[in-house]
Amino acid sequence: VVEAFEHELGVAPGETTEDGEVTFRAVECLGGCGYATVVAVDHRYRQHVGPGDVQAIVEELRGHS
Amino acid sequence: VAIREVLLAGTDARDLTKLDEYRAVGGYDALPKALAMTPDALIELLQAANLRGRGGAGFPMCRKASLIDRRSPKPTYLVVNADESEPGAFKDREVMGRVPHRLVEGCLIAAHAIECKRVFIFIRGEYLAEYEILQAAVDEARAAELFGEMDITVHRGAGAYICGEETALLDALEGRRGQPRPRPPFPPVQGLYNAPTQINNVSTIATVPAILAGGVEAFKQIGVESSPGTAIFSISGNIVNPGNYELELGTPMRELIYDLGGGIPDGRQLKAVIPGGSSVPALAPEEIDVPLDYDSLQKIGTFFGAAALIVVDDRCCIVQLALRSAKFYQHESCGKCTPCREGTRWMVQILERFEAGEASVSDIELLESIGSRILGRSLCALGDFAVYPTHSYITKWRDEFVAHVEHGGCPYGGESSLEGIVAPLDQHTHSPVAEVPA
Repeated sequence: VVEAFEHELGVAPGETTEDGEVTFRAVECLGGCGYATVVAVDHRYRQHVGPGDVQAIVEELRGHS
Repeated sequence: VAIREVLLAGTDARDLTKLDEYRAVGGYDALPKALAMTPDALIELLQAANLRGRGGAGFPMCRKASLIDRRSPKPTYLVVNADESEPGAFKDREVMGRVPHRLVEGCLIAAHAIECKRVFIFIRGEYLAEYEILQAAVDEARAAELFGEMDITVHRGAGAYICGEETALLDALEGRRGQPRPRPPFPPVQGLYNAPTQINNVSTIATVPAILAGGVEAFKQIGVESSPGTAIFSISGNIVNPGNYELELGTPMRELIYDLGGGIPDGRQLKAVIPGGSSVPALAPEEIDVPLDYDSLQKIGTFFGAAALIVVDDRCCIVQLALRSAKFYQHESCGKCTPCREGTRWMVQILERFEAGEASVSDIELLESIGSRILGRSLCALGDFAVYPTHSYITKWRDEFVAHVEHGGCPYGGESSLEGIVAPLDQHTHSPVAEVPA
């Protein structure tokens, strides 16, 4: 999932995209061990995220921003 | 093996986040029963139910209540620990997100037992959705005039494992940096704002309405004699069906793992189970017939903990597993006590030597020796939590440590399931979520 985001956003964890719109961070526990992988998008959690879901998440995020 | 729902009862059929729906399943019927009793009679009743704390230590809930000095000129406080932070645990999240009113009702009952007018629920900052649901339930119950002279404040933590430790939680709640306090005095004597304070886990308090509603005898029919009731078990890791399962205490661990959990994926073999969250000694496959209750787990040298089972399959390097959890506790050590602050760091450094192929066999003894000098030597148990699992790995999987020495590094050669998951911890940061978005 991390690699998919790196590919989709073109930045590594801890970095912000060149246009300043998206910051990608690796975060600690979001309390979802049973629902891995958990991704927090603007404070809201997505559960059971697989690499295949990443493109849609980024497009949705880009659409919002 | 059967699901037995007390905490989550009714959540499948109805949306119990709503007051009307919760009332439709008998919700808030226990409250007037409790309020009609004197605090002493209520404590006696809860004592007879022998409800043990679901947060980790398993301390009888009512012993905490009976220690509260109700003659103190200061107010008494009830604090609910909703700072669920133990790796592997996500049971309280389920309670708050699905049946927040049961927690609210439990708070009002437990508060009456200690003549408390002000309840605080300390919820971890990362539980944003659950906070919103819980706050809405509190507001709804208050508007329905269920609170009487009592009130409930939901306080969001800022994200630190240590704040789940009860005295650090109190400091954080008071607006200070969350660090443990020396004991004695214990919180029932001198807790929040130096006033008598009872602190209980979410699941403990949310079990209270069922005891009042159905009576003590009916409650004691559930579970085992030494630990009546149910618990929500969180199961995660290398398991086909991860998630939360509410079961009677005393249910054999094997049934949870293989029947409900569906066993280990892809035909792999079970290697270890960490039964109570990452802080407790791990069990080997031949030990998983143990009943899931406080005393049975303690009898075989581990703990019930937060009822969080982490299942580990045979792809996992035990040294990496030890390193992953030691790094977590090193990172989360608040730094107040030297044995924990320095000791967890040393443990990480030694474990890294094993992985790098720079360890000798004597480093196994060194690791044990450092661990034994962390245990019990700090204000809280955080340092101990790094030691318990590590010591169990050394005891039960010593051959893997030796193999790292003989092989000159990790014998898994990059194929361990934790490979690469160990390193990124360095770049992990806590969730930045502090404010509730508009």
